[in-house]
Amino acid sequence: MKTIFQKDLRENFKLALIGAAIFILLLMQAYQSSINTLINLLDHNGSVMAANLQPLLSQTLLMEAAFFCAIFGAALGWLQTRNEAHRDLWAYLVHRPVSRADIFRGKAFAGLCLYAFGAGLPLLGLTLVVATPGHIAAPFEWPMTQPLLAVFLTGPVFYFAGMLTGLRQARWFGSKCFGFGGAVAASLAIFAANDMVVSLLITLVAAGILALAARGAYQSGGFYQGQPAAGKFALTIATLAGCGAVMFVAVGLTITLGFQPFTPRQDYTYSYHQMTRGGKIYKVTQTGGDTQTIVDLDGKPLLDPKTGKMMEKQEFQKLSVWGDSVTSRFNDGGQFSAHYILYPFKNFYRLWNVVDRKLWYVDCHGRLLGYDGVTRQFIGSIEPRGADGATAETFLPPSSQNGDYFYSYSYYRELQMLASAQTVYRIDLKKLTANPVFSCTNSDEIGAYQESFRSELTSKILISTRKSVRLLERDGQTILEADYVPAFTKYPNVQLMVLRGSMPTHLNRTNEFALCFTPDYRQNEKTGWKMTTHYAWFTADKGITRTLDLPVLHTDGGPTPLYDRVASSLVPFGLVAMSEKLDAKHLLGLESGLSLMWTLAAGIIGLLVVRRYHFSTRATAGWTIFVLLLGIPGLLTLLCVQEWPARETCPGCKKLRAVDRECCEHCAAEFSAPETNGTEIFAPLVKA
Amino acid sequence: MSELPVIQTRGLTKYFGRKCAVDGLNLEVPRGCVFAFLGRNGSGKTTTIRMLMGLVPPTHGSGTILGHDIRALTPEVRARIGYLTEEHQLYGWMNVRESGEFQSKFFPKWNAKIYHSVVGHFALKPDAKVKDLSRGERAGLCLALTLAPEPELLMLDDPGLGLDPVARRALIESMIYLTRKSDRTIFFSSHHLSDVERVADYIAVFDRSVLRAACPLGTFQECVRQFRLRFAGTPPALPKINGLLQAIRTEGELRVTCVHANRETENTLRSLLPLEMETLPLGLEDAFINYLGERGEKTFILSEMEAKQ
Repeated sequence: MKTIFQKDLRENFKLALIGAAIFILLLMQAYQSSINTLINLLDHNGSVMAANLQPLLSQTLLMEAAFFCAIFGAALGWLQTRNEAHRDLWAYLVHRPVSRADIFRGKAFAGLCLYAFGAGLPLLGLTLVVATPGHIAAPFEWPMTQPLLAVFLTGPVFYFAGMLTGLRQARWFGSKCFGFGGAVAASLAIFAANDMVVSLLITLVAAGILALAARGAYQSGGFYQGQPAAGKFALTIATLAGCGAVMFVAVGLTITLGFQPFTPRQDYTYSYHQMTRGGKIYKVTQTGGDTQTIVDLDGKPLLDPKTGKMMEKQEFQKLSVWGDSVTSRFNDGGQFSAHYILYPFKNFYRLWNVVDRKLWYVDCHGRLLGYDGVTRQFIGSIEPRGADGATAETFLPPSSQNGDYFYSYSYYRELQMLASAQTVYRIDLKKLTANPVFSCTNSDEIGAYQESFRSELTSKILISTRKSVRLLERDGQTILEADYVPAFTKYPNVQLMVLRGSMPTHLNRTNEFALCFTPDYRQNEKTGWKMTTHYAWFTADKGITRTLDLPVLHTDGGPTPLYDRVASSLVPFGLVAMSEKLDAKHLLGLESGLSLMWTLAAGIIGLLVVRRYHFSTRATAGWTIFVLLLGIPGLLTLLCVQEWPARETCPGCKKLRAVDRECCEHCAAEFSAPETNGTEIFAPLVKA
Repeated sequence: MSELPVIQTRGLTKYFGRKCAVDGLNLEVPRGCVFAFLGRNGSGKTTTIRMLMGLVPPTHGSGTILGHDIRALTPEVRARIGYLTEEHQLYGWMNVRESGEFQSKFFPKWNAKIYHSVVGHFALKPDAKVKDLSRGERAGLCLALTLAPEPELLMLDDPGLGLDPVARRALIESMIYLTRKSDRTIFFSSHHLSDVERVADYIAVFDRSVLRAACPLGTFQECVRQFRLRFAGTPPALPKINGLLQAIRTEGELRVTCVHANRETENTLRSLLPLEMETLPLGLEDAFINYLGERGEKTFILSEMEAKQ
């Protein structure tokens, strides 16, 4: 194994070197992009991708790295085996006194070392650069390397898929590369996973399956027959994903190219409730982006007093009121949790503000960290100390910069307020202090806050606690307060709207306000959209004057596109049955019925095929169950992984029999010797 | 010396798709001999060797090599078999010395003396890259790598392919040296019948995926005989002759090649009343060409064309 390892290391080192050079260029470009983002941020008003400030968390880099690791891993595995796939070189490789499993181990170990060299070393280099102060004007923590690490670890999955493709003796070229289907599926699952442990598990399982399949291919010279059972199983699983992908892509292409051009476009209709400055709620219905009707809650259309006709959308927007909203998340771990690969930066920091060419971040430990945008050096941190100045607290992430982009408009630079779970602070960046201006009671807790720039709410801060919704001045004075009704756990979203006083420049106590409490989308979905939206009208001095609950105008997204309908009908019935959506309605639906029909048809075809070739009873049962569980992808897998021998007429019973059997499966007659013609010369071969 | 055959097959068959490459091969190769495996291109020689080496699975039938099932050759068995492939493929990026070092690490019985002696015989420079070697030099290196582990059985797939006569002669001499000095068995395929004639004890002849002959070399030559019959005019029609391979008519002459010719064959030919009848001696090459050439009688058209020339 050691000799094979050394040989392969030397043989393929050039490839690793080329890979490393390409990856270093990509990483340098990502690093430069991060610096450019910083320069843009310092020099211009506008928006920048906050994630790009820390290259390790840049979505662009993660995507590039994901593609690079997949392609590099696959190329390495494929070339490492393809170079020796020539039948004589293959013979030279395997005809030696070591087992093929040892040869595989030596080659795989060498390949993985080369992968680590080509992809791992550049990543390590980037990490060390980023971790060294003075390079990046953004926070750095070692867990920030996790998304890139997860992406890096997908490479070995593709490496083994490449190896398998290089070796596999498939009946047609296409199915040779079906192992990549498994690798792609694993990659997608890793991207969909919510934490590192899950993605590591997926990587391990996928790499393990493909490694077993590649090892089996080494042992059998690329054939299905002759592999150990584990190899056969792994090859079947790896090919299944490829077959599934091919089937859905084929259906998609057929529908896109064959049917869609002739199908009339169907715009879907949806409705929503909109409040006006007068505090009245209207139901707006739109089709394909155009407003169709605006009616009040009694169903009477809203007429334009100027024209007497149904009011136009533009006119209605002038009457509409748009408030500030916050989404509360209490200590449920959600304050800094986001998808760890797709939105990694949100797990680690929010860029709060950029003042005097200095960048201020609220990090995941609840500290406000400052970095000099010019020197890219850390300049200091501010930690909240509670109303008494002695209680260690942590800042909640500001709602104002919750998206992917950081908005660097001048009015945003006026941001001064941050809050912890108990206290609202006014930040003094010159003195590096956080001055408490408001505290909630010990039994209450701040869930979200928003410093507003809406004209009537400028410089006000909206906070939602477990018990109330408050609007504060920057000095902590309460402008208004309303009870948080209903319970925040089911209604985390609250919107504050200022009514009347058409576009006032400042608030006064005579203003009327409205609060809109929206239920959590997922929880409402689970209840079948039974949770209502709660509206409350109130004034600062009189409190709540009236309330109203309106059903959520949920739309199911309009008519299901043809591809979705066809694709969902092709999903194996076994998977449909396991789906959490399964209920009587789904079970009796057209798609489920078609799915059951396709699955049964695939099962019957599979059974007929395996019976035609007279598989053993065990293999017949196994494949039939497999196809019945997995439907058409399962049938395609059966057809792809098995070798199908020629059939010829048995001279005994005149029926077709497979040539790979020792005797006829129908009449048990042995194969007859080749016909003689009287010119044969056979004599005893005994050495004198 | 063990009496068990070194190679034994029973109904060994290989299909590639619908094409039958080897059909029901029954063969036994005794120990300590040089066994030549002959046949035209595509007749199934290489496929048979690859099946015997466990590189491609047989479609059906069975076989043993050194007493072990060809479907499950262990590393220990492979250590006892030297295999020289048809195209002498090696790692092009290695040089001659590295190739030797690489190979030697796998074989505990590596005989450096043999290796250097064969490499020297082919005048190979240790630092020469394999990819820069000529075909003959590469064949020499392959042979050195195959011989140095001192295998019990040498499987050589057309070792002389593409070699010039000098290189081929060197290779043949190496083979003779090896077998005569020890009790090794050499199983080789070849198209160079003069080489076969020099070294082979036995031959097997493949014709369109079927084994047609397996016998001592001398027996084959004895079995294939050619008769020349002279006539005053046009030779008469040929009666049915058992084992007829070819009959070529020319003006006033009939040449008949057949196998297993006996007194009855001679009597049948004499019954045609030729002016003269003689038996022509055939070398292996002529016997082989006649054996595998076009069967049956050639027409007068051909003889007329030949006459015009």
